[in-house]
Formats: sequence, C-alpha cells, structure tokens
Amino acid sequence: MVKCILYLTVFFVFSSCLQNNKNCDSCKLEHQEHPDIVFAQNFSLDKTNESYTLRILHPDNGKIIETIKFQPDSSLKVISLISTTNGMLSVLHLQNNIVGISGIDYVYNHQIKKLFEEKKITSFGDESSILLEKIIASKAGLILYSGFGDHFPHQEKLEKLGITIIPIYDWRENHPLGKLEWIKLIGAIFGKEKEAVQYFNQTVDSYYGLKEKTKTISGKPQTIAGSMIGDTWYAPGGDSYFATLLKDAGTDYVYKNTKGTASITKTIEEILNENSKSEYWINPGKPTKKEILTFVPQAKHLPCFENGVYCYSKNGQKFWEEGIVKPHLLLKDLIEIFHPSLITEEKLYFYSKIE
Amino acid sequence: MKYATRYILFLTLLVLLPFLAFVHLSIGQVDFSIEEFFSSFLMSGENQMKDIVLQKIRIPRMLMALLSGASLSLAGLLMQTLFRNPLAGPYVLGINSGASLFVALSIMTGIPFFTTDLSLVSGALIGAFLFGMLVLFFAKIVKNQISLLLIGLMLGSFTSAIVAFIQSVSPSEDLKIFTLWGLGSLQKVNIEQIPYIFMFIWIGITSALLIIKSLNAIVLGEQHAKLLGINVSNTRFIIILITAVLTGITTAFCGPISFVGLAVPNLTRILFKTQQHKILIPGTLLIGGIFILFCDIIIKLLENHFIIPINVLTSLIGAPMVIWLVLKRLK
Repeated sequence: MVKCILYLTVFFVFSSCLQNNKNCDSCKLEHQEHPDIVFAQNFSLDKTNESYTLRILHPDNGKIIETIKFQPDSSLKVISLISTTNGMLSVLHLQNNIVGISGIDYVYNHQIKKLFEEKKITSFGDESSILLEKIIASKAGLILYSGFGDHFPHQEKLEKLGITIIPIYDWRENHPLGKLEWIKLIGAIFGKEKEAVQYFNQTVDSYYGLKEKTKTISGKPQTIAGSMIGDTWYAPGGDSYFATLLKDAGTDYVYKNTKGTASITKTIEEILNENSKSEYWINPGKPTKKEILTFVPQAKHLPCFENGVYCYSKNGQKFWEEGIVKPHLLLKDLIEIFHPSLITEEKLYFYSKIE
Repeated sequence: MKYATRYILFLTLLVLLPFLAFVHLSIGQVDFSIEEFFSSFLMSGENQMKDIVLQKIRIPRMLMALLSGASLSLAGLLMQTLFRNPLAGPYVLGINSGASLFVALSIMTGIPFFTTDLSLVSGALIGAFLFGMLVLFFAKIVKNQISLLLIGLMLGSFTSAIVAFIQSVSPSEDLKIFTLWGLGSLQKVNIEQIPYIFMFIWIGITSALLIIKSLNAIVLGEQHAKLLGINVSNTRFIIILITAVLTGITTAFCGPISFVGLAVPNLTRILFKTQQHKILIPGTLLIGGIFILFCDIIIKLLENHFIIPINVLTSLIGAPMVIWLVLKRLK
C-alpha cells in the first residue's frame, strides 16, 4: 500500500513536471528522473538521506560532466565569483557565508557591499587570474564560478585541499525560471533547501500569474533586442531565456524563430531591413542615446529609436544580480513596457526608458 | 617603363575604381532592383528603408573604403621614402599606438575624462595627434632617420605594454569592444562625417604633391638631397606631419587597418617600375582605394555566412600578394 501511494505520488509529480515542461518548451526529458528540477536543464540534484548528489550536465549535449556529492553545511564559506550566485545567496540570506567575490564593482546587494567594506569579504578578481594562496587563506570550502572555461584554475590542487568547485551554468538555461531553479542547488548546499524551494515556487506562481494577464491582449508589438559589437549585431537566439521572456510578455520578438540559446548575429543592413516595423528595442546595452549612437551610429535609422528604447543599464548590476532571482519582476517590467494598460500602478523595477 | 604602358595602367585603374565602387554599393543583404537602386541613390525612392540603407549605410562605407585605402597607402609611401626602407609603414611612428592607448583608456578604464565626453573616434583622434606631435618633437631633436624609427618603435612598444596592462584588468565585455575596435571597421562612419574626413585627407594629399621634388631627392639619400639644395630637416618634419594627419584621421574613424600602408606602395613601385613620386603618389592613391574596396567587397559577399574584420582580410590578401610580386620580380 505504501509502495502504491509512493508510485502514485511519483506519477503525479511526474505528470505535473511534464505539464510544466509544456510551458518550458525545451526542458529535457531526462528531468523526469529528477522531479524536483522542473525547468533547469544543466544540472540534476538527487537526495539520499542527508546527502545530495549533484550532476552538472553539459549545456550543449546534456552529458554529465561533473558529479559532486555533498552534505548540507550551513557554516560553509563560499567564494562566489558570479553576480547570479550573489543574487541567489542574498535571497537566501547567506551573505555572511560569502568570503570572496570577483570584484565589488560587480555587486549590487547592500549587505555584501557592507561586508566588503568591513573586510569580511575580499575581492578575488577574474577567475582566470585567481591566486591559489589567497583562496586557501580565505578558508573557503566552496567556489562557485561561471564555467566559461573547461576547468577552474588549480582545480585539482584545490579539490585535494577539500575545496568544492561548482560551475554554475545558469547562463545557458533557456527559461528564466530555469535560471532561477539553480537556487535549489544553493539552498541544498547550505541546508536551506526548504526556503529555496518555497521561494522558487512563489516566484513561479507570480511569473505565471503575470503571464496569464497577457492572454487578454489583442495585438503583439514587434520588438528587437540586443545591440552591435564591432560590425555585428548580437540578438538573443529564439530559444534563449530572453526570447522566452519576450514571448511571455506578449510581444512579437522579431527573431523568435531562430534556433539556439546563443546569440544570433546580424549585419546592420539586415537589422534595418527586418525591423522597420519594430516598435520597441530592448537592451541596447548603453544607458543613453548618445552612448548608443557612439557604438551604433546607424541606430538612429531604426524607427523605434525615437520613442521605444528601454534598457537596464542605468543599474546594470541590479539587473545581473537580481534579474535571475526575480524573473517575475523582469516579466512585469516587460509587460508594463509593451502593454502599459495591464500593469498600471507600479514603476519599472529593472528597466528605464532611454530618452 | 614606357609612357604608353603607364598611361594604360593609369587608365585601367581609373576605370576599375568606379566599377568596384559600383559593385561595392550593389552588394548587401537588402535587394535592390536597378530602378530602386537609382531612385534610392537620388533619395527619391518609394521605400524609405532602402533609401536609408543605400544613402546612410552603403555609400559612407564605400567612401570610407576609398578614403582609408588612399590615405593609409600614401602615408605608407611617405614613410618608405623617408626611411628609404620598403618595410616602413604608416604605423612605424607609433601614431597608431597613440590612438590605441586613448581608445583603451576610453573603453576600459573608469577615468571620467575618457568615459564621459569622448567617443571612441575623438579618443583615437586625440591619441593619434598627441603621439604625432610627440614624434614631430623627436624629429626636431634627432638627427637621423634610423634613430627616429627606433623612437617610433619604442613608443609603440611602450604604449602596447600599457594597453596590455589595461586589458589584463578589464571586464570581458570592454575587452571585446576594444579587441573589435582593433580589428578595424569601415561601418562606423556617418555620411555627415565624410566631408570632414575628406578635407583632412585632401590636405594631406595636396601637401604631399607639393613636396614631390623633395621626396624624389630624399630617395637618393640625405647627403644627395642636401647637395640638391633640399632642406632635409624641414622635409622630414612635413612628411611626418602629413603621415600623422593621414594615419590619425583614418585610425580614428576606422580603427587600425594594417598592411595596406606597407603593401600598396610596394605594389605600386613594382607595377609602375619607378621611384618618381609624381607617378607613385597618384598610383598609390588609386591602388590603395581599389585594394580596400576589393577587400570590403569580399567581406560583404561573405557577410551572410560570417563577418571578417577588414584588418584581418587586408593582411590575408595583401601578404601573399606581395610575396608573389616580390618573387616574380626576383625572377
């Protein structure tokens, strides 16, 4: 009987996961084996008794690239080298566990800034040039990094010293809630799984509540995103988390049908030709029109340049650090930009209009 | 070389240049019919976006290709004449390094002077001209060309070290912008800026044409030039000033475009078989313009698949071409 109830429970959990997966268009089937992870594609987390088995999956092929077993430890000291994990640690009130960051310029959270001023947190710089002895002296037991390179510098030596190193591939997730779901891993590491799951579920509810509002809209304004670097315009790929956000915010993202989570590249001629009807330009990467024109002088020929440019850059660190843990507010901002009548009373949280 | 052969060669270049300019204008991701092309050219087209693409994107890019090719090639010719060394180029004086340093400061440091009011163009322009003035100052002190060449190279090494340090402590996004600036681009220029660029380059060309006699004498060596009554010191000053203007203005608007200044004057000498600057200057200007136009046409043809920076392609095409021509001449 107990077994029967267990199977039924598992079945319903699986069913709900699969139902959620319909919302998250490309979540992989392997997560049926890990019902706790619904949206994220690049890790799995299994709990047995009091310990966890973390599997980091390769963002390109889904193969397991690292298996890490750990037990929750609320006193664990961490070097957090990316803005997104700073955001997750802050939401779970774990700022006091941080002993190292990449640089204070990349921090938004006031508590982390205060601890840095009190010299309880030190700056480690870029991960590629990180100092081995400085890590050892910090007494950190965990390093969280972006996983841009194949391996963390001195990884073997650090692991022999008992320091766990985890690459965080949240930036390769294709759904904003998949990015947020990495908070479950952070919660599990520090013994705050319940709080993490609760926060995740609340945010998912808020996100879908907002998404529901866009079902009443009559028209979807055409939108472009990204900007030019060099002679190439980089726009979010059709499967990227930002394309998902734009879709959920009830807009017609001009490159929604392109493949992949990575940025797509366009020439300025293509951009001008394909965006003559775009009403909005999101994330030009610069906070003023003057700066935009310095890097993309041809931008003034986009019809939406006059009155439809929005960017987070006025407070870039807030976007990078909090955007991952507050995807519902990102969505709210975008809905407010595209459909102001749906959300009236609040100010934009991340974005501002570029005048 | 016979006068007639030179005449035919010039005529060929004069026909090839507008032909390539037309081909350059007609290539792109936006399709134009012949009627649309000409009506957009005259800004009387029905499709406003096509007018913008032709007038604001393609024409400035084509004109910048011509101007940058001509000015860098002429600057290279002047340097090769001054140092009597075919390996000299417009960047040996460190003018490019000055531009790079100021661009690096404006992109990758938080120094308010560089980040607030200055754009990349003005940063590069100030850097190029400051270093041009520095080289002119040294040119007044130093007596011979080799010492000046060494000072130019040392200035380059010194600024490269500072730029490398700035790069090592910069965020990846800034690093990417700087790296891409270093790869060169013909697309950052507005049509409104073209007349100003043209004016500076025209001043450089006219000045070079006015000192043809001195240039021909310097080719023979300093002593010979002095015997011919040339004021070598003044000529050297003027040559450096012209090179600073030509290189500075081009680097400021396009980023560094290497190899053109080295390859084109050599190519011109091989084709025209002369040391006479009244032939070499117009020849270099024409071949320089044609060379960059040709390179940019290839870039435009490949744009649908990948985007090659102009600085990469000029070297990829230019280096084997010069090797081939040198080997051919040796035979």
